Amino acid sequence: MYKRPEGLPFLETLDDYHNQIAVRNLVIGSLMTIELRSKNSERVKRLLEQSLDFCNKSLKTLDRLVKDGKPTVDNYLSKVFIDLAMIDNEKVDMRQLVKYQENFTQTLQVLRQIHENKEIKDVEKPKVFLKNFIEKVKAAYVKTETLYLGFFTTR
Amino acid sequence: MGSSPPDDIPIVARIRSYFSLLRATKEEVEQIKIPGLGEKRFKHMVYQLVDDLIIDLKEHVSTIEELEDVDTKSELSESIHRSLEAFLNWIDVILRHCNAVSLELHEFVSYILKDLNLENIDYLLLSGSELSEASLSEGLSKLFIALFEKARDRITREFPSFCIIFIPQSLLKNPINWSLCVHEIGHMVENERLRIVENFYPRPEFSPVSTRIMYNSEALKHWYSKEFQADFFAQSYCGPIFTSQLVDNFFTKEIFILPTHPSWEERTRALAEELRKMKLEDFARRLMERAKELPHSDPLIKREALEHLSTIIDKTKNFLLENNSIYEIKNEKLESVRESLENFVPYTDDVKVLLNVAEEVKRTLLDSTKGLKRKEKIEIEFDNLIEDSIRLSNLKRIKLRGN
Repeated sequence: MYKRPEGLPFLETLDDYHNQIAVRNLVIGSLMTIELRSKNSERVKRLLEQSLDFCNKSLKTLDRLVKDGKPTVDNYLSKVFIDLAMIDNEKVDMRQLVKYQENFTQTLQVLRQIHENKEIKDVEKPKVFLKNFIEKVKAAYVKTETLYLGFFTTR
Repeated sequence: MGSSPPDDIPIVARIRSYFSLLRATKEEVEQIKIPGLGEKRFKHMVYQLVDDLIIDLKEHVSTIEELEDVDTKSELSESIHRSLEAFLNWIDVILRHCNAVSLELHEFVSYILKDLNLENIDYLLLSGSELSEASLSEGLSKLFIALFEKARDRITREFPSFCIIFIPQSLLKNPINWSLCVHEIGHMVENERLRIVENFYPRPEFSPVSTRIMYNSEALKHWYSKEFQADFFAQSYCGPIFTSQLVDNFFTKEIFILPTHPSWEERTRALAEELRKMKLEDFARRLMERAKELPHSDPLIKREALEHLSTIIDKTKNFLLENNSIYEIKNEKLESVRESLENFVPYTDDVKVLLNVAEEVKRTLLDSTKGLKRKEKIEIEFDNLIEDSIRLSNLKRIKLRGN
């Protein structure tokens, strides 16, 4: 029998940690966009562009994951979504992915309304979702963070 | 900062601390000697990134003042903290771990890259827990996404392919094993220059490792092809020493194969086929004999499913041929190396032939030596001889070729 490594392999730990930071940064970027929507600065414009791109990509990824039924990883966003929806290290909770799909749809709607200077409806829902989502990402990668920093113990 | 409400003070103070931390890191990098050809470019990258990060950080301090929601403020602060902490950790690791790699191993890698006309590739060699290759550029890009766009743009524009090869201590200390690094150099050359595999199978945005989840077949085809390609690259360049070291060190019952890697059986078969093409029938036969001892395991996809693998291998072979870098057995040369090593005289002509002979000579020497202490002494002295030979070979070539 092969011996399974304990914990995560080295490269996967590096990658998982970088992926979760990327997703957290992008989510906080979307949150900031919604918060600062009334400011007409270059920074907010850049944030809006980035957030639209991120939510579009997330939604596209989630659509595929939900449609596939048996989700497989095809980009770093899908890896994070699957990690978040993983039950007992084996099964993916599809209902969770559907919920994310709904929430990203709402967030994207609000971002589009900001983009088109339209009246924004229900701004609180995406804000609550984005804040909760960051917490979920943090919780899912606690172990990864310990391993990441463990690999990086200085000599 | 006078207009900030009191809640902002600890958050801003935490962010502000990074201004001095980043500047201190820049100074530290400036003062430390980093062995290897990547020093100048790495230092330049760090200086530029630190300057970019400081500009973005100043903007974040203003943004925090503009944000009204306390949760968003603290999440932003937390994200800045995580990104910068990870960046500073990377620099710290590089500075602490680069000096564990000997000058001779640097000479070895530099010798190979010179052979391949790829001396301007951006890379660092670090000691690490597993023999592996990782893209520093991709890692840092992810850390900076959304919050540090200036630094991220800089990486994309000026340092798109800085990579790191991690080398475990056991390998660092044993020069006969160094041919194993050539597999990782193969990955580095493919990722940063050749990009043959991604012409056929798109490059996934994440690392080819997981014990937990399923990847789609296109991603698997990409990684499997890369593993076969890197094996081919290393064996074609180094000769049979690569294969024998791979079998001795990795193809064992105890080592778990990541599902994103082809099975030992398939890798062994592919290597044996190439050995036969190189007219190394005896090595191929021995390899297949060893393979029989390995447990059977099913890969996630079969080698036969990689419809473009033979084209990928052919293109890789063409690259090696164009650079006259395919290993050829020349008995006269082998004899001359054997004679030098048996007499403990450094051999300084061809590192590849040196490594191929060194394994056998070392084994014979140790077999004919009695007593554990004496064996240990001989082993250390022999390894020193090989390291000296590698260093001198590179030096001699630089002097002869003027490069």
